[in-house]
Amino acid sequence: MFPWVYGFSWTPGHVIFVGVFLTVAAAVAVTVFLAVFRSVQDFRRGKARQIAWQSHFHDLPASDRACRHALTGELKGRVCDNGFDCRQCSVHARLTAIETAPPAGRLYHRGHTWVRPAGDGTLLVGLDEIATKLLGSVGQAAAPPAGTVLEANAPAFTVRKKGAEFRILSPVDGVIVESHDGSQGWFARVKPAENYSDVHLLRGHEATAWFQREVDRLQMAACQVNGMPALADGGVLEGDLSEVLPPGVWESLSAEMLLDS
Amino acid sequence: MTRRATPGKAARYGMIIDLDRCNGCGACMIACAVENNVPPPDAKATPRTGLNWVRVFRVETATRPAFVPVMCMQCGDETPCVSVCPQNAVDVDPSTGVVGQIPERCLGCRYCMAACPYQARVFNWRDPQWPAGMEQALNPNVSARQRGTVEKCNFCHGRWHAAVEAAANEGKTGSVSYTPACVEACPAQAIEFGDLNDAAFAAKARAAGAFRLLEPLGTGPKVYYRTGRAEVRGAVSGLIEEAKNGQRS
Amino acid sequence: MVSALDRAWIPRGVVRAPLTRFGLWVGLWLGVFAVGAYAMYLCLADGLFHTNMDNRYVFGLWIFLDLTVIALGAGAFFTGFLLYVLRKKELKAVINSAVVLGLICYSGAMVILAVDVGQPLRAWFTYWYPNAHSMLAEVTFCITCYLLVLCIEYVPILLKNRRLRGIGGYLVFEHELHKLMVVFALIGTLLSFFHQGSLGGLFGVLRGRPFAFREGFAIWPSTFFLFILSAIAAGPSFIALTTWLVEKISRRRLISAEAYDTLARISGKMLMLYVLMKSLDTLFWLNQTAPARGFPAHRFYEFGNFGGWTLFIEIVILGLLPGLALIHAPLRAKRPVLLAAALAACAGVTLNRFVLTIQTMALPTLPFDRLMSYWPSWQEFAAFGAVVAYGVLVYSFSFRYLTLFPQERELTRAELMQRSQEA
Repeated sequence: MFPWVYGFSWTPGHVIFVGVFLTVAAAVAVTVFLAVFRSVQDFRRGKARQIAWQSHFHDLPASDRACRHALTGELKGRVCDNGFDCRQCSVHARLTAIETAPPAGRLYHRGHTWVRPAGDGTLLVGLDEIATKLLGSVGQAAAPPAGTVLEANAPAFTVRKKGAEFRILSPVDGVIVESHDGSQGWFARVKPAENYSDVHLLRGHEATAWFQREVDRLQMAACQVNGMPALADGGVLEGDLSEVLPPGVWESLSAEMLLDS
Repeated sequence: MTRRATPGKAARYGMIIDLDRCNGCGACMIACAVENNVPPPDAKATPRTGLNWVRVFRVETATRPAFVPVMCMQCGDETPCVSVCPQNAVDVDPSTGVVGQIPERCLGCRYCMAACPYQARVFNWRDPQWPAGMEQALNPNVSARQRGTVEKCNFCHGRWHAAVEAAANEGKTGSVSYTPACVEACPAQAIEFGDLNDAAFAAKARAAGAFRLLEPLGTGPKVYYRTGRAEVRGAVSGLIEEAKNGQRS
Repeated sequence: MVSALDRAWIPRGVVRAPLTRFGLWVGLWLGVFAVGAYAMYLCLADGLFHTNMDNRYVFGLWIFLDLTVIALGAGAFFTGFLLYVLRKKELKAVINSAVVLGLICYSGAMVILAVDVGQPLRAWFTYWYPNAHSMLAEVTFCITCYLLVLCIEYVPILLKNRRLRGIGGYLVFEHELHKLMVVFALIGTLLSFFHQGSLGGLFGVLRGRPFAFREGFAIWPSTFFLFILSAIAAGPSFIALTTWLVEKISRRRLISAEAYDTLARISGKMLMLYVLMKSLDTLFWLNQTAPARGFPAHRFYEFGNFGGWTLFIEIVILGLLPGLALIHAPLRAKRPVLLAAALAACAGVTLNRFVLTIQTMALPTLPFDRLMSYWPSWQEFAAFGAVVAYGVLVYSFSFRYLTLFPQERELTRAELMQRSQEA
């Protein structure tokens, strides 16, 4: 086998044969050594107990390992893969970072627009978080100009993105006195109509419940798409959805959420 | 697989067996066993488990039967048993052309036996045993083999070695001439032994009526057979045309 | 006390036979093992004349069965490859069992080989003085390496035992080893690939045996590739079959229907590919290879015992038919069909190995020679019986005390819940 063994010859066949064998033997030995070495290091760093717990945990039945966000209904059927240690869990961190409850003080229209009294007798009108996720901010060019007359449930203006068009419904009756690019959340300052009423808008705990349901809808739709961050990861609300979702899905989903046909 | 330095001219030993002379007496088998320290067969040994380096087959033909001594053919082309041995226990000596079996290195896997189309190799199925006193008659020039190893004809390697030594004492190197035991013992002088590098002997081996066993396999045997009877040639050579000719005549 | 200990070692949440029944089962197989161990002792201490092999029949029952169990044991490497490299997650249900089966098949084959060779103490010569041209050297190198890999793959299964996992750093080591398992799966695949192939090449290169000789590509005869294909075709079938057998013997449900389906589907596809290649190879051999070497193919099939029917059964009855049954989804959805087809696939590979070993030895090459027959001695049967017993024992202990089927716990719970509702 080795050059010093009687019968060794430097023929290509011999060298390849023995070379391959020694490579395989070395690969096996190195891998085992690596496993031992890492185990020793885990011990030195005091990670032994944590690894043992993770190992025990993974052998438990899935029903035992339900994620806390699955219990609340935020993430349906998610199984914890982190040994119930939410301190290092990226999913938990992301979920708590996402505002699943809408900011208070706003009145919501079911087409994902909102209204807030500005305090000077005018109203601020904007797109909510879900609409922003789907469309991005409105942009100065797209925002309706001052003087536009708005009527509740009627189209206020049209947003174009990636070749698709969506009409945005107005939440209130009134006239636009100032338009904005939406970078501060609102896109229009509106002088309310004389017979102004906000009874039809959602508020308080009903706004919270509705918003929660809309988030679920978004996630349910998204998790049916192959290759999407699964619902279980809570990853749907990350990033620009028009980039993340396949174009067809993004368009139809946006239309549904914005009550467009 | 290993190459040995050979001073002088290399030999290519071979045999020509005259089937018309062989009468199947079996003297070659006895002489071979005595020469090469093959132990006497155990009481339970069968023709299939015995240690015969040379076997004489009786072959029925259209006329009277023929007798065919078969030993290791010392195949010269792509020797089938050499490449299969997992631990280099079989080699071809480039100075003699003889296929050697190294019993001390043999694992006893018998892969070489499976590879040999002539079934010229035998296995030590049990410990070799000689009756009391018979060890006195053992040939000191040939080592005995142990159980669990393969052995076969090597054209009387012991005799070759003695001949090389004798030649060296006279200052000669290279090809030597000697006589294997079976050749010496044959009462009908049916076996001729010589160097195929010697033009006269080679011509005799290729003369009309000469053939080798299973030639289409391309193993290049160095044992030639010769017969004047077409039916014998047909039955022994394994050549399809020869077989047809043999049936017709 | 013993039963308390026994209970403490059995994985939680699964049901196992009472200790007495398990003891009887183990005792039975220990008996078989003892007889075979005695036969092995006879062969090793006395000589191989205890077998009915002879100078003509140099390979007998053992080599034939060695080739067969190694072919069936291919399920281990192929399942590992599908799971760890191609990420077929549903095979996680059987991977542990496949590893144990592979370990049994390979170690058993090694034991029999050690008895079969005349000088087992010289086995290390093959490593020290290897002949790179010998298929047997390739086989020896690959099988020993792969056996080592299988042992390493067995370690995590062992360390996850309920009691062993509590000891010191066992779980830490298991964790680190498991993270590197893809390396072993890849090395195992490479090694298995080559030794399954070289086991086929073993016979394909015999240029002195026109019945076995095949031409091929580069240094490997076509049997090299056919052995690989047939082994990975039969491997998953064998896993499905053994799992079903363990389910019957232990009276438990072990894997889901999807796992069966995946195994059967993969087996069927590979089997169809194998049948195609085998047919092409056979045609080429019958018409080209054999006649060129002076052996018209009909001469091989003129002997009563080994007529052309062996070819027909091997390729059509035990190849094409089970292949068709396994690739057709509605057919393989029926459990009896699936099992019968899996059994036929395994039988087909067995017959293939039989033909290449036993039939090759039986057929004469010299024109004046005869067909030889051979019947193994009791020592040969008993020694092989010992290997089977060894396998059953290793598997039984592994099944009882280790988690071979991760789905079993939930399947058992569902079954127990259902039963309590019915009551």
